This record gives sequence, C-alpha cells and structure tokens, in this order.
Amino acid sequence: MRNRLHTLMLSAGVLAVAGLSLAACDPAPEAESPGAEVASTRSDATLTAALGDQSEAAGFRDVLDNSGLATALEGVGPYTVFAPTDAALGTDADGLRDEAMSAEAAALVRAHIVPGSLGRADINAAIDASGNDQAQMRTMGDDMLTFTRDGETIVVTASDGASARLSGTEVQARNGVIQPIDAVLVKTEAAE
Amino acid sequence: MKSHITLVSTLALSVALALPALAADQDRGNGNGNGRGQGARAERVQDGPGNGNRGNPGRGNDNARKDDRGPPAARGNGNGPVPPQVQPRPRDRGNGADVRDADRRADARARVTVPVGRDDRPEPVVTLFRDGRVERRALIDGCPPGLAKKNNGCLPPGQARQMRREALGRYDGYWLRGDEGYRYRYDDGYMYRYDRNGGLTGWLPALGGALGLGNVWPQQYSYQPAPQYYSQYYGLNDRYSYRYADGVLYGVDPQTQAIQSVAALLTGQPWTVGQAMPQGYDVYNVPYQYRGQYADSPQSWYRYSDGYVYQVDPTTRLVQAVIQLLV
Repeated sequence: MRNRLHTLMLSAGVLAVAGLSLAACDPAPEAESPGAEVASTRSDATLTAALGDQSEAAGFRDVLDNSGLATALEGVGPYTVFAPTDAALGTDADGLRDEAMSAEAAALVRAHIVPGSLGRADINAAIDASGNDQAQMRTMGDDMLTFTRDGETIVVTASDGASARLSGTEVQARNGVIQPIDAVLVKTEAAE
Repeated sequence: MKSHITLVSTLALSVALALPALAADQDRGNGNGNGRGQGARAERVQDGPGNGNRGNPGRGNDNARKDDRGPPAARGNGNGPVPPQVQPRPRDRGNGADVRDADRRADARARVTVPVGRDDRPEPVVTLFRDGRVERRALIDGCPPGLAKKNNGCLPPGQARQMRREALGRYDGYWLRGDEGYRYRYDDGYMYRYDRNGGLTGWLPALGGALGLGNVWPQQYSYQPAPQYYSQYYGLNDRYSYRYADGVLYGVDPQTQAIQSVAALLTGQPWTVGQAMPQGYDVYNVPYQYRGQYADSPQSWYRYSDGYVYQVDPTTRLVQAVIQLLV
C-alpha cells in the first residue's frame, strides 16, 4: 500500500515553483537528492478529498460541492484539476457557494478540468516539443487551454483570455492530478 | 505487469473501419421541461455506433422509456438496437465509481481494440460525441417552446432590442467558448445563446441548473444510455440508470427520473482510427498506472480520453489504435 503522501522529486531545472503552496500536508520528503526540488506530492485520496486537504483551495472545494460534480471527481477519472487558490477566486467564492448558483459553479469547475493526468513535467515536455512554445489541452467544458512558459513558470490561458500561472505544488491524487493556479480560467463580466 | 497487446500497423489500420460514431439528430417542439415550465425538446439518436455494419451499438444500462430515446427511424444503425441492459456489479459501490478498480485494472492486461471488419470484429469501441454541428456545442438549435421563429431569431424585435440593452450577468461569460459573434446567458436552469442582434439562436438545459442534482430530467431532453464499456470503466453501479448528455454521465433514478449523481465528465471528442487526433491533446496525459505500458516514443504517442488510450503517429498525428483500459 502506498503511503498516504510521499514526495516526488523532480529536477530543479524543470520546475521553479513560485507562489502559494497548496500542499495537502507537509510533504515530508522521504528522500532528497542534492539540487532537487520538491515539485509534487502524492496522495491516496481522490481528487475531491485531496482538494479538501488543500489549505488554500477551500473556496474552490466549496464551489465543487455546490456544483454537484464532487462525485465525478471521486470516480475513476482520471482528471487534472486546475484549482484556483482562495485568493484567486476572491469574493466569487462566496457567490458560487450559494445553492442558487450551482449552474455557474458547475460551469466554472468544468472549465478547470482536463482529461487524464497532467504533471508539470508533462506540460513542460509538450511545450518543448511543440516547436512554437505552446501546448493545448481541451477542457471538460469544451474550451481550449493553452500552456506557455514565463521563465520557468507554466502559464495557462483559456480561449477568452483568462490566464493563470501554475503555482504551489502539484498533487498526484489517486484518480488524477491537482494543479494549483493563481487565477481563475474564466472571466466574469465585471472583470472585463 | 503482464500485457497482451495487439498492436496493429498503420497500414492495417488504414483499411480498418472507422470508429463508430454516434449519429445525432434533433428536432424541436413544445415539450414541458422542469423548472421553467418549458423543456428542451430534442430527440437525439440514442444508440451507439453509427457505423452501420457492426453490432452492439451503444448498449446502455439505462432503462429509458422508449419515447425518451428518440424516434426509431433516427435510432438505428442497420443492425438493430440492442436493448438497454443493466451491467451487474459484484457489489454496490455507492454513488458512482470506485477508483481502486482502476488500480487493479492497471495491473491486468489492456487490450488494443481496432475495428477490423465483420468476420473478426473486436469488441466495439463506443465514443460519445458532443453534437458538433452547432458551434461545437450540443445546443438545441432554434427557438424554445412558445417562441416562434422571427426574422431576427426567436425574439420579437422589441425584446431583441431590450436584450441588446441589458448588461450581461456577472457569470454569463462562464458559458462563452471562443465562438465570437454569440453571447450566452444563463437563466433559471437553462443557457441561452444570442446572436449580435439579440436574436435567440440556441438553448440548452445546464449542468447544475435544469440538469442539477435532484431535478427531474427535463422531459424530452435527449440523452444516450451509458454504453456498456463506460458502465464498466467508470464502475457505474445498478442503483441508477445512467445517461450521457453533453459531456456528462448522469445517474438518474429510474423511477422518478430525478438526477441523483454526476458519475463522470467526458470530453466527447471524436477519435477515429486512421483520422487525425482531435485538437487539444498536446500533453501526454496517460494515467500514471498505465505509463509503463504506454509511454510516448518517436514511433508512437499515447493519449488518454474518456476511458480509452489512443495510439497516435507522432508525425502524421493520425490515430493508429484504440486501447481499452479494461480487462
């Protein structure tokens, strides 16, 4: 049986993760090699449960609950969830917790999910191999996300121009991956 | 980890039959849905592969009423429908799926399934498509019940002018998907699409809205019974009947028709052997437990979508094979 959490070590050159840390728990690295950087944690929990463990993604988890999609993220999947931090959701988290806003909550959540398991190393590899320094993935909301790099940070941009940077630490959950992001990938009209 | 994989050459695949596609059809009328007192009326072909010469199309576990499954003339694929059936599960695993099964399945063999013809046909691959005919979205094209087609969409000119004046709601942009020229609005369970002149050109029951938990399935809103492969892959139990619509597998109470769970999210993208892979799969995304078997190489890429892994030629981007992740 796997440990509930253990740390994956990736080269520092691949990821220099800045910003908020959303690790579910203290990563408690099992082994650390010189020059390596903690880039990922692994969890036996489902995506839904692992999101609940994210100290700075409480708002998104609440939105997920309100959307009715929590059971889907407990299922087989796998999915990759780009989870906006509480700071990124801001006051919208309050509105999207409202039961009357469950459709909006579901639209937001779907816009932040892509099929399969995407680690940052995978995204970087795709950008490197693309020839035009970008890679695309389709969301469960039928939108296209474009990945680029700003320095060593991965930037993800939706078709409406909403853009976020991958932040914190990715979590490899039992049925997918959580990638914390520092902004929301859909625009509100007030933000126009 | 043992694996019995039949890799089929590109040449062989070039003569293989295309993957079954789920044809779709819609019509419109004046149904009464839930919530708003007006329901979407769209009869879409329910049964599976529209290939026409392979059997077992779209076997679902949804004991749907016949009148929910679309007109018979639009349903068939030439081989006759297979009655919806419940896929028995060894145990009731509650609401939806059990991800531990995926781990177990990863240790079992995976199977490459390639359509090869009638005499040696493999288990059919069923892909659930979104309706791509209308701006890539499964919108119900046309006017909602009670609104006749006008010169300017479905709205009388006065209402259209009013619509143009109204400010968009804060969250209306959540439904915008790069199809400029349209505006989307959400209201009371349904999403509406308007053209630049304010004409209502399409609408759809919304996930979380009219298609929210606890709501009765909008009468006459079309769906496809969950194909058997999806029932197995996603570990759908027999507590509910499962319906696919617009990228979502819903668990529905077979008695009350109330939506009880969202069992899975799907892309609904068309993957067809011998044709180009869909856009939007640039990143290697194979589930971790299968990466030892399906690692990208200069000869082959592998991409995951909706319960299958697809083998792709890196040079031509043509789909070479479909790999089921079930034993």
